Order: sequence, then structure tokens, then C-alpha cells
Amino acid sequence: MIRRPRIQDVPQMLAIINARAARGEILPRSQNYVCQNIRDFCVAEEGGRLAACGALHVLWSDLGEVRALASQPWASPSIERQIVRALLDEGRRLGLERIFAFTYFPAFFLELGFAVVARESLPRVAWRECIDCIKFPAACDETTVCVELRKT
Amino acid sequence: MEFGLEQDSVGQRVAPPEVSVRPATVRDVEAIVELVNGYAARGEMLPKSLNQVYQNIRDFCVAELDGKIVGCGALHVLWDNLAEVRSLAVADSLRRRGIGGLILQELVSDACQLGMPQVFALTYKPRFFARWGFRMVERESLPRKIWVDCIDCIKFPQCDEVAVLRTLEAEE
Repeated sequence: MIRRPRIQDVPQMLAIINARAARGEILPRSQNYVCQNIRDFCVAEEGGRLAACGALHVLWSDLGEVRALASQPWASPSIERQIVRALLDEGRRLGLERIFAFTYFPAFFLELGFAVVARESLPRVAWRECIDCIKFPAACDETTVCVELRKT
Repeated sequence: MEFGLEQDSVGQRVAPPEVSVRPATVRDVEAIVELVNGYAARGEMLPKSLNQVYQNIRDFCVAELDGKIVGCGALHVLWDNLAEVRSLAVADSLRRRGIGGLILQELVSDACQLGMPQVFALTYKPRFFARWGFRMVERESLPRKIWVDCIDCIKFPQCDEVAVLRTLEAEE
């Protein structure tokens, strides 16, 4: 079941996100970040337990970003796909035109209708989190993927 | 306008306006910024940039009348036990019609759904909030976390706003 989180889910969301971050696959997130952006998130429950989470952060009138996508090792293999689909629906509801992600797993996003694009094709507002990254700019090794919501 | 909004011929206020309150989308952002910054220009609330509203769009709900945005408000989660009512604004021509109350009710219900134990606001209108179950508290009784916005305020620390707080019953 995919649902919106309640504030009581935050400790488990942090555990799921930061376990994936510890593997170097996504950015770590603080309690402050998750609380202040809790409305960006959706979570998946399996067997009454929190199995996965992901966020859609709105950057501008047309643009959103998938962030903090992570799941428990025991969650069903399709759970992150289900989360991204829910985030795309949310983007449509909000009236966004495009959703992008910076990722080490472009194939995962390609299956969901995203395409690989040049980082430079995104507006500067998309770089907000990049400028504080220790890999910015020369060492950035993530792939930029983007989906046009009208086409999906 | 079809709604019984205008005053009748005797000059009495007629039935409450048929206003609907709904979650905001990116299409509402320019109207929200215009409303909030109108109040901000009079020193009644903090101004908001397009960027701030886009990035926190899910905090906002809007009041709509006849296809037009006539009010807005936001509920921002600050920490696991605290959320803040922000940017509550109603079009000047429609004030004192209960629209602010409708918006505040929506924000409080939002806080309940999120599982927040309490909601606060910093306001110049404590009596409005008192009608909706908020009580005045010492600003200093609120956690430091709330000062994140305050420290950049040109009035800080000579603040003349009043802190109001409402405790929510846990749902479930």
C-alpha cells in the first residue's frame, strides 16, 4: 500500500534512506530535512511495516525532482517502481510538466519512461543541492534522467 | 456573480460565501504570492518569493470562489512535534466572511492527518486564532527550531507578534 507518511513514520524513513545513502547510492537525509519536507514523500507499507519511501520535490512551476528513493532489503522488488509511479501521479496532480532525477541507476528510470538527458539541459534551479555536493562539479558521476509528464 | 456574496439592498451581510478550500497546485502560485505579499507590504506577515512557494507548494491550500483564488494558507512541518500555520491571507474585499476560518480549519485538519501533536502560529491576530481553539503562549516557550525564519526578519528580536498554540488530539 502506497500512502502519505505521518510524522511518526520519520524515524523509519530516515533508517531506510540513510542505509541506502551509506552504500553511496543516494544522498543522506537529516531528520530536519525529512520533517520539513515530509509532504514531498510517499511511503509503501508491506505486511504492516514500512517498506520503502521516495520524495517528489517541486522546484519551479514546471519542474520536480525525485529524491530519497529507498527501500528495505526485504521489500518486494517492484516497490521502488510503485513509489516512482505514485510520485509521477502526484506531479500530474500538481500540474508539473517534467520530473527529473540524478541517479546511479538510469536503467531503473528508463523502464519508467524517463530518458537520459544532458545535465546542462536542466534549468539552474535544478542544481540547488548539487552546489553543496563534494563531487560538484567535476567529479559528478550521476546520470540525469527526465520524463515529460504529458507523454506518459 | 451567482454566489450570494454581495451585500443585499438593506446592507446586511448575506449568507457565507460559497467558497471551496483545496490543496494548491503550481498553477496557484502567482495568486498566492500576490495575496501574501499584499499583506507583507503592510507589515502584517512575512513576504514569500515564488521560489519559497514552489518549493513548499504542498504546504499550501487555497480558497477559491468563482474560479478565482481569494485566500490561502500554509502548514509547514518544522520538527516531529511541531507545525506552523503560515501565510494565511484573504483578499481584502472578502475579509470578515469566514474564509480565513475555513482555511485555518483545513490546515488544522491537515496537521491531524500528518499526526502532528501541536500547531502554532506567530500572528498579529490572536483573537482570530482564539476562535479556533488556539491559546496564547509565551514565544519563549516554543522550541528554538521556530526561530529559523525569525532570525532573518528585519524586526528580530524586537518582535511584536503573538505566539498562539493549539494542541491536537491524536487521530487513529
